[in-house]
Amino acid sequence: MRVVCIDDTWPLDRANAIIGPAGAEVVFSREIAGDDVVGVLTYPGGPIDATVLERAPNLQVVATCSTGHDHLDAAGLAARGVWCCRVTHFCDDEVADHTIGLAIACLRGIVMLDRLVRDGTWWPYPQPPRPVTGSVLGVIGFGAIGRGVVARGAALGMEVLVASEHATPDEVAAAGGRLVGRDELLGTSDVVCLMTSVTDATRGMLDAAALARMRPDAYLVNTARAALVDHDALGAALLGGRIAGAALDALPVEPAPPDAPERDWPRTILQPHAAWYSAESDRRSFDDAAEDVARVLRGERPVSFLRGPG
Amino acid sequence: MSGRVILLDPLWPMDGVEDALAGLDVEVEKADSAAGDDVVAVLAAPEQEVRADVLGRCPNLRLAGTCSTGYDNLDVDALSAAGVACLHVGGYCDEEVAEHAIALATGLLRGTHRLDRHVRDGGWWPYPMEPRRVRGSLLGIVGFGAIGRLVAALALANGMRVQAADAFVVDAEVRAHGAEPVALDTLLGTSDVVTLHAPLLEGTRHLIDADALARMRPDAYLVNCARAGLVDHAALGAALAARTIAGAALDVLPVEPPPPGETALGWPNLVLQPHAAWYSPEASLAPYRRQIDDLARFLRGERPQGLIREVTR
Repeated sequence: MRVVCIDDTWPLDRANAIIGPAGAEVVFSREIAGDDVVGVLTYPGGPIDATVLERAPNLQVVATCSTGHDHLDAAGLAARGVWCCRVTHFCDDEVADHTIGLAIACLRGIVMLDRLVRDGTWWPYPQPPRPVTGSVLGVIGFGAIGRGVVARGAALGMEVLVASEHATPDEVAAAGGRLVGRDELLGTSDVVCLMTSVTDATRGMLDAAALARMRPDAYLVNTARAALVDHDALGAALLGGRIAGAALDALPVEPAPPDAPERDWPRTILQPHAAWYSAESDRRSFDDAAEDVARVLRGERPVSFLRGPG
Repeated sequence: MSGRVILLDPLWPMDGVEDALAGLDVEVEKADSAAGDDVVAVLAAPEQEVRADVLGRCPNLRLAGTCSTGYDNLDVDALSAAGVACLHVGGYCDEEVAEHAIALATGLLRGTHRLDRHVRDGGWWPYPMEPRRVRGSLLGIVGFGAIGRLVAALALANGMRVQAADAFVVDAEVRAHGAEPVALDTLLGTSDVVTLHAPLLEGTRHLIDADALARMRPDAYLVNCARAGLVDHAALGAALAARTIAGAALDVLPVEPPPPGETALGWPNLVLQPHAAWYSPEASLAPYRRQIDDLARFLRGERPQGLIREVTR
């Protein structure tokens, strides 16, 4: 039996160490074809739908090394008896670390100040740092990562506001925050962090009207998804000086092309979709996906599946 | 007492100075250096030095002050021996410096600056920079005074583990603030990030020299929001160039502002800050106001709050 890995960055030695004992060999190939193919390891750049079964009729499981699963036709695959798996929570601490890091980087001005020194300016006055303790951190979304950001902000002495359709005031208070309406959060926060997934209800939620509610000295941090933000409106707000700045780890087109307009926005920190990363989370994203493939091949139920047969 | 007060800092804000000194028989002026029989006080910022030579130019000098917490720019020994009262301003920006140091430590571990440059140079994905977990990483604090203790609290809030080296603080005091007391060599050899919060004294000059840098882990970072003299900068430049440490963030340079040709501008994996850690809108005027208020106390014959050492005259 073979498991085909279509991601050439996947560490195959570890995948084989995990899947081998379940009776299959993991091989790298761009082609998923053959009666002996029982599993597929993929990534966000490798879309898989039910037509794969025409070439690999004995396929049992498809696993992606990502939380996002837009590239998988989970319903179509499950209808043909294939488990469809993804990985979750493998980088919660990393994204929370990176988000709070960007929030305090904005308040203390550390990226802009480095640029100023290299442009020949000295003294902090053109980009005056602000206090972290006592400032207001607004967190939109209260999932596992949002909770981690709330806890870190509260521990740093920030006043933390949370806007979420799903959270209760008690659980937000237990994490160290206060549940408020989104408009109040936008109008009050020194830093607004987006910590929610993209749904029809959240797509483009940070539009021109939402940006207009933000304080002129407020920063936006987006380590979630670019589709949450109307980037035309954000660019206008930054260029017009209507918010203090932004830190973006998610852009509408990734990798950012040379002519990406975000490159020209003032007071903007750009990150290359890096918030999720550490050596540990990188390993977990691959290993957790391989573990679920091994479970299916052993006849067990995978732990992190989107859809399963039946 | 009457005479002239010289402000060596050209940026010294003059708002409120006249009111604070109302009724006192002194004139305040800004100048590059202090000289004259009528000079009774000279006030400096960290970039301006007041050494023993001022005593020859200002024979009637009674007070020398710096609007900073560190007072390495004053020759306290010589000035005090000559009966000149030396003043500093303690504690006006402890929170700001601690927050800035934590922001820089977090930024180094997460690769924030380098990743921003990487994107602007046409790159993408985090792999070349290898951001690291903040939670669980080990922060080493060199100097466990008021600022070092605040750094410990903020680091613990971020889920970091904290160790501290300070020969003048007992172990129980370090532990009471959530940090593990260790020897400097141990701290250097084990920390993910080493952050300096010691005063610059003869005993701490070039505390971080080539040997100290060689003890650091190849994946470790150095943060200096204290004084440039704590670090042998030639050795730091060599360590960064040879990549024997992972990077550094400096809020202080041997000469500030850096002159043209400052070599640090060319060092790899370096974050530079323009002596900004002390700053917040709240802290921005406090050291100047407190120094002028202390000058007024001294001129009225009261004891100044920021007196560094008792003097007799």
